[in-house]
Amino acid sequence: MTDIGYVRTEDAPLLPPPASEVGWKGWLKQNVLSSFSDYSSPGAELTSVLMVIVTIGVLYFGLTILWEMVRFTLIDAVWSDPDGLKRQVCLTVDQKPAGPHPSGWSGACWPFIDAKWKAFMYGRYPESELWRPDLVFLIGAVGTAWLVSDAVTKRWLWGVVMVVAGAVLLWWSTLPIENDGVALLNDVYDPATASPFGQFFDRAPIGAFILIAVGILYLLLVQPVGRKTVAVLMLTVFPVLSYILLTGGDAEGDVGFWITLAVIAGFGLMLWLIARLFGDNAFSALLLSLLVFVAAIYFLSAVLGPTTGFGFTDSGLGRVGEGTVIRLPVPVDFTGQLLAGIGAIGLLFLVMSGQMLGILIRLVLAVPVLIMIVNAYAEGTAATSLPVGWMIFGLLLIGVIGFALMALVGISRPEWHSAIGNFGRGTGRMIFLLSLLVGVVAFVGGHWFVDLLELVAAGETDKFLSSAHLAAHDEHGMLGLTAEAMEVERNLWILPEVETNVWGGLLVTLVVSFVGIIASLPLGILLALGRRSQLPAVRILSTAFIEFWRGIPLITVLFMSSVMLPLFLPEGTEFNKLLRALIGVALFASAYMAEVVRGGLQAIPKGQYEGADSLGLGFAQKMRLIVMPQALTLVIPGIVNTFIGLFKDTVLVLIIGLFDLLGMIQSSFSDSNWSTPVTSPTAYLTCAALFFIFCFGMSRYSMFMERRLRRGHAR
Amino acid sequence: MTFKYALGALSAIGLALGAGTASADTLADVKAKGSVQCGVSQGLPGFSNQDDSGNWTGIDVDVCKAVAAAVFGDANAVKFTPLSAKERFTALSSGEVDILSRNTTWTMTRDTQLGLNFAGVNYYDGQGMMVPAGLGVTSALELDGASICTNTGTTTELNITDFFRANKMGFELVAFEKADEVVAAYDAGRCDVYTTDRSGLAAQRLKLADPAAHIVLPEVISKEPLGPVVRQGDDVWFNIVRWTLNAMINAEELGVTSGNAAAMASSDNPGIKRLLGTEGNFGEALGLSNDWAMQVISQVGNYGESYEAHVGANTPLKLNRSGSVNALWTNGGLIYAAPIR
Amino acid sequence: MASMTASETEDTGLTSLLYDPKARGLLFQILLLTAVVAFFAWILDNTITNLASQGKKSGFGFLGETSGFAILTTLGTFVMEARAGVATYFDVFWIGVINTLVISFFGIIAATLLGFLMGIFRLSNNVILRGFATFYVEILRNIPLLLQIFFWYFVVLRALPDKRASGISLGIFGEFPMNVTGLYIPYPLFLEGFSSVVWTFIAACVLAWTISWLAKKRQEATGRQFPSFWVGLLIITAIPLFAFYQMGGPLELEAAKFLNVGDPILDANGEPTGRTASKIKAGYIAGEGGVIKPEFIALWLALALYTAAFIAEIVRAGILAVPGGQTEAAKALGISPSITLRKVIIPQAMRVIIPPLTSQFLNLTKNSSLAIAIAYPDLVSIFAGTALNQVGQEIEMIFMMMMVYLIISLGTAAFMNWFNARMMLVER
Repeated sequence: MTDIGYVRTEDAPLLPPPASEVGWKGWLKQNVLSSFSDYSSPGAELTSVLMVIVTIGVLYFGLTILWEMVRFTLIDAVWSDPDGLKRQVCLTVDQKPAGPHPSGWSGACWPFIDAKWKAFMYGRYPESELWRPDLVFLIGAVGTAWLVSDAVTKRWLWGVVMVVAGAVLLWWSTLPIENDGVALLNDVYDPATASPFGQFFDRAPIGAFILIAVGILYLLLVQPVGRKTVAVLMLTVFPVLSYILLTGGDAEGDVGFWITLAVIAGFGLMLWLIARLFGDNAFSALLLSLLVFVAAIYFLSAVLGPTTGFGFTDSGLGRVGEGTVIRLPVPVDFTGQLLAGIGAIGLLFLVMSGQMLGILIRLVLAVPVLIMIVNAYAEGTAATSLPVGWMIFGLLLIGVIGFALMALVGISRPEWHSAIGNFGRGTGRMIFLLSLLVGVVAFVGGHWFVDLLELVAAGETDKFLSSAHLAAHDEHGMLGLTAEAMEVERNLWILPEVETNVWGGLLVTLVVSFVGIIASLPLGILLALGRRSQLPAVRILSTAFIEFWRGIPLITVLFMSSVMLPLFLPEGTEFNKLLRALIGVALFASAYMAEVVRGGLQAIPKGQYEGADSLGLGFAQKMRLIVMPQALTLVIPGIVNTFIGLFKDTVLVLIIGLFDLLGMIQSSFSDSNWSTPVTSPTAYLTCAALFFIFCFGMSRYSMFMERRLRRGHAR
Repeated sequence: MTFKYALGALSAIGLALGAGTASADTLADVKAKGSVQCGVSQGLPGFSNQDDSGNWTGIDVDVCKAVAAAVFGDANAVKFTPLSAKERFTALSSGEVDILSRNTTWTMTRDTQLGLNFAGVNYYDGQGMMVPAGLGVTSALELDGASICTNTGTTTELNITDFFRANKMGFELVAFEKADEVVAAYDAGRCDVYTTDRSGLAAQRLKLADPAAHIVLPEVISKEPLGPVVRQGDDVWFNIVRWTLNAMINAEELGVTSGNAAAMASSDNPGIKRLLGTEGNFGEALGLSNDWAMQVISQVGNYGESYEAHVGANTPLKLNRSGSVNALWTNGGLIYAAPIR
Repeated sequence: MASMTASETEDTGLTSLLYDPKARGLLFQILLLTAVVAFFAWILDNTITNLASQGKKSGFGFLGETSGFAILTTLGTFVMEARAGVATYFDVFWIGVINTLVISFFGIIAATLLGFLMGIFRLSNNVILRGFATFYVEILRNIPLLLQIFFWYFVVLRALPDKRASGISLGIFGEFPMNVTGLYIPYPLFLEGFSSVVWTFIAACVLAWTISWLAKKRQEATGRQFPSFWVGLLIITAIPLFAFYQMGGPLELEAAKFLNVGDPILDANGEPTGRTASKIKAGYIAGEGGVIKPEFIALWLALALYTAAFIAEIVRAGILAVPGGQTEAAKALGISPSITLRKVIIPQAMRVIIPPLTSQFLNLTKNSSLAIAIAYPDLVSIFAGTALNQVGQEIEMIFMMMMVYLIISLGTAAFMNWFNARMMLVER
């Protein structure tokens, strides 16, 4: 082996990278200097010099703004108003009245925001009822967190969270009234003389019970409730619940009645769609939780009433005096009818489908629902005497015990749960239609149905729904109760009505945007399908609809709904302002939603359609089972982005005189107690910050979903 | 399949929404509803304004309360719908509200072409102008070249345009959609002049940073009789609103106040007796109970009380009544009501 | 098989018609159309009934009537030569249309420039520019536009000097004073001989274009390059400037005159009228020099800044959509970075950028309707606002307004589709 000069026998030593490539120097070089260190040619020189100038300019500009923001909002800001001076704390010495600040001072006036915060959040929503929007916000926040977080699989965690949250809410509601003003069902009886339990129950928020019930159910359910279920709950139960909580659930007048009907019908339709699209677990969870809730209320009042001296009496929920008749609450208002209607749907499902084992369970489950419905629609139940009451109560007790047993046993018997969960299959669809019909008829029906029969018998069908007929009902109430009895029931069951014209602030912003997006989803899906339809008339109409709404600014839509809508409808049809705006926003949003969904539909490979065709699936089956699940998942980021746009656009409702967040802020400027030069910048900044938090959060989520979906589809 | 169900549901909703109907019998409708639906402004202190806890006050609000008191014997059986200038007439004619009591000027067009009836006048107003005191202007005729802020939706823009053209003065008109924005722009110095009804000026001025630094010029450039409005073609309801207002004015003239109404019912004055329902069946002729005016006056007060409580000299608006057109006719003003007889 | 199916179809007759997709489709369409027509007929019937019972006029006769109110002076009023109390409602309509188009036009230009700049900044390897652009985009696009308009109008308006103060001076020589009543720009007065400067300018442009065309020819033939851009720039600027100088500067810029309290007031011919300026008269004299109203500035700023944030994202996405291999290939060919950007990346990115960019332009146009909040007299503000309040014919007026927006939208969409199709054809 000759020595071949230069062969290395060991590895070259690993040298550290040049100092200019790593560490802060390297970072600086790569991220800052590289863009202006190219002097190789005249052109590059020019670019580099320009870059230096631009960078310095931008840096200076950016830092100035940043510094001004920090100075205004933090350093020079006024934080508190200990002496209650109001605007004076935010004025300078040379202004009138003279404030404590040197001339030329400017800084945020946070005491102003503090003073107006409630108005910014809820508008003029009555103070004593603020727990209702709070509860809606809370449920919304929990649901959303659940929806977006990855913790959905840890169902026990969420179950515990809900039970704990419910318990905290209950505890909070037991605090003395003077401190927080939380009041629940009503103030019919005197809290001072009520038993502790009565006092407690009277003021415990319904939401606490709902939370606890759902939480327990969640823990009990063998199959974990997934994100889909939550999505379903958020899209269906949450809006209805919010509607009841926020308005008091008692939409008045003729239109109110029809709206209620529409809500029910829409609700049923939505449930069905969702159950078909996402499976039946959501459905069962929903029904079960409602049943538990209703049963709990009945149970607590009926069973514990006699011993605690607290229960439902002729004069309402309260302390039972000597000789008063304890009776079961009759749901005469919207809330009760809603529950009864849903109950009717569920009942038919429960009883009429599935296997033998299931039928047994369902029968047990069905009893309380049946009672509820009978109770709600039987004539003269309001005066149900004690024996009848106890009979019903006995049945109810059996139902509740049966349910409790089933729930307990069910922990170790998964097949029972699947039996409950299976009621959407097979003949279920036909039964659904029937039950929907029965539910709606049960809801609409009751007295109306009886009336119709009577009028048919008397040959006076034309009087049905005439104004005289309606007036008669207003006197006797929907279920033939006297006005006084109605009032009692109202106080008993209904949350005090809060008219929408006292709503305001963030509440309105959220309501408008949520309703817009939720209502636009089904409509958007239909329009997207229509636009891709083979049928020319359908396609043209859908396209025209979409392009029309997309072609005009939202403000004209709002004008149209506030000024022209009353002209389009039969004379005398009235709508409240918020509802009109909601209709406009929903139609507007549905056009955008349709385009988003269409994007999703187009992204589904043709093979999927053809595959479905080759399996012999019909159009509806193809869409439901093959295309939509894929397309809707794909367009989640698009939906979120549409929502962000809509959320920001909702501020336009202030132009038609609704007081959303920005509207409240604007109107707060006219409070001369707080008018200073720094008031409006402070309030605008606050508004901007609130919107930013919401929109930025949502856009991050949308990006996250986009990445996730892209990963999922990577090949 | 999906289509059909959805369409079915949609058409059901469509039908459902159309099903509510209102008859021409407003009184029956109102009685059935249990409350009077009253269209008011979106916030004009002294006339119709909502406080932080959501209660409405003002002389326009009092008209509605008085009608509720006359119909139901309960001045609180009234619900308020805040309306913008643009929406107000549609809201009234579509039946959304039963009375429009929203500082609305009585003009011929509105009375004849819009299907409305003005039930009377509860405030005689006129368009005025407000300028910063620091400008040293004492008359509107010195305003050549001024920039003027106002809000749209009224006759205001027309009047100001006419005034400046008639006097051959140049001006710049900045017309906003909402009053709050006008105040903000005027306060920011965008305009030299803020023009609207004089009562409105008195009210909006309170929203300025320094109300004392602004003066209202003496010129009144228009006649603006403001009053409650009802739908045309329902004379029963029209009469109720008109005579409720008349009862309030007559009560003031006769010296009946909310404090002494109960005692005055047994007065010897037949005029007072007729007013308070102890003589004659005037209430029944209106389709109400005979103590209708009694309820109005004991619960809401007479016209003078309402005026002093909301816009008078002791309120922030400081609209002095004596010597103005809004004084009682016996004091040289224009407030005059047909007798109850 | 096929024949069997056919015979089956024939056999069962009517029943099978129900299962025939075509027949079903036809039936469904007929039903749908009937429903839609019925729905519109219902609305129409209601509307006619309602209008009749309200005793309202209908038809477009109001367009010829005199409007009777003054409108803030803008380009629209200038073009329509509208004077208070003389302009008809039709004039008002056109003023609105013009003002909408003007604000949209300037908004689109500013938003596009700023948007492209920010989009490129976001991809810069300079962390300062990148960071700034990211902040800009994230903050501006997550705050409602109306709030931004209010901010620019009410907050910034408050901060501006009073009408009677000469104001802050913008521009290099302070030739653009600005106070609360607006931004005052010198008004050009064209003297005799200015037309020859214009002609020189046109000639210079033609010359520059010819040179660049020749240079391109030469480069294609011989490969030799010629700095035609710089030469062209020189020709276009230098020659007209020289002509301008030769003609003795036939252009005067008349700045807005400022009147202090106590200054004599001059009449139209410059003669003293014997009166002195009161406080109300003090300030910039209207009619001399051009003025851009603060309403326009606030709306324009807000629209441009807001839309630019979206355009920046579109541009960034467009550039990122160009595969990295393209840049590498250009580098491998020795093409300089700036030419790579100009000739390789941008043409490809534009194909991705144009469709969403179009919808942003349309959004901006539609968003200009927010002018109503701050009294800029656009279509919505004066026609569907002020004029509607006077006339009260909602149906006709809102219909006209919607038509304008629809025509703009659909027209732009059609143009952009055509343009897009052209861009796509050049692809390979």
